[in-house]
Amino acid sequence: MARKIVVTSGKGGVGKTTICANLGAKLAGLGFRVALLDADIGLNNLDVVMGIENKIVYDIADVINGKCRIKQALIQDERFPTLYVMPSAQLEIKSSLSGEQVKLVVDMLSPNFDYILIDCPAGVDNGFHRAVFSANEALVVVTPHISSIRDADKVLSILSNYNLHSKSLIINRVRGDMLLSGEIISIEKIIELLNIPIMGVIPDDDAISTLSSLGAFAYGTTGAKAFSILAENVHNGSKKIYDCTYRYRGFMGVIRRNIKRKV
Amino acid sequence: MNFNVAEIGANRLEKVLLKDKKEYPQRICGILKSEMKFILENYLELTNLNLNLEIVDGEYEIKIKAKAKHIKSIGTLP
Repeated sequence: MARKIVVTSGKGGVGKTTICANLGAKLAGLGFRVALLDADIGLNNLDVVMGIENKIVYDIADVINGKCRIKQALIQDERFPTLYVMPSAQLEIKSSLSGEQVKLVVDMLSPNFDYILIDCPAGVDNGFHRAVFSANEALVVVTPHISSIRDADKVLSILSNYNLHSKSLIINRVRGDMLLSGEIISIEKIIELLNIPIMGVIPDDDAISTLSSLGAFAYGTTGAKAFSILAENVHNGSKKIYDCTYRYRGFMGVIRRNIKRKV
Repeated sequence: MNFNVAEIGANRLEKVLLKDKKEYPQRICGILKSEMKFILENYLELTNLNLNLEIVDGEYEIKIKAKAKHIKSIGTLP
C-alpha cells in the first residue's frame, strides 16, 4: 500500500507544486512507484510544472464520474517511468468534487504505488479538505517569511482534526546569504515556533524557477541536491538537512554574499 | 544593517502566533483534542471524545467528556 502524503501550506505561492513535482521525481529516481495527484481543482498547475499539459485527455473528475478508467487518466512521465500524474479537473464547475470522492481515487491508486503525493490548493476551504482527507501524512511547506509561517501555524492546527500519522515541515526558498547576515528568520526559530519536525530545507535557487517554467525537474543545482536529501528523509526517516549557508561562508562566501546583495 | 532583522521578525511572529491562538481557542481545542485522543487511545477503546475550551473571566475553562467501550487488554498497552 502507498504512503499517501499531502503537500500543503495555507499560503499560496510558497512552492507546493514545485516541491510535489521534484520530490516525486527524486523518489521515482530511487526506484519507487510514485503518483502525483493534483488536488488543486480549477487552479491546477502540476501539469505545467511537470510539462504534461498537452498530454491530458482525462482527469480526476472523469475518473470519479465514471467516464474513464483510472489507468486512462494517469499520465506516465517520460523521464521517470515509475512516475505518474493524475491531472486535476480543469473546469471550475468540477470543483463540487468531495473529499470522499478524491479519497476513493487515492485508495484505488494505492495498491499500485509506493507513494501518492497530493498537491493541495492554497487556503483552508473545501479544496484543502478535499486534498487532506485522503492523506495519512502531511508535509507543510513554508518560506522564511512571517505571513507564510503564520498561515502554516493555522494550517497545522486544522490538520490536527484529521487522521494523519505525521506532520512535517519543509522550509522552501531559503537564502543562505540572508540567513548568515541575520536578515531572515532562522531555520531553528521556525521549527521552534511551529513545533513540528523538519523534513527538509530547500534553498532559493533561480534554476528551480527556470526549470519549472520549462516543465523540467531540478538537476545538477543546489536545489536538486536539497530535493535528493528531502526524498531520502521522506523515505527512510533520516534527519539530514541541506545547509543553505555553505556557499556563503569563508572568503569566497563573503564575495558571493556581496554580489548577491548587489544583484 | 545594524539591527538583527531576523530577531525582530521572530519576536513579532511569536507575538502574532500567540495572539492568533488566544483569539481563536477552537484551534487550540483541535490540537488538544488530537493529542488527548492519541494518549487516551493507548489505554481505552474510545467511542466518543468531546473537548471544549472556553474563556471564562479571562481564564481558560477546559471541559472534557469521553466515553470508552473498555480498557485495552494488557498485552496491547504501550
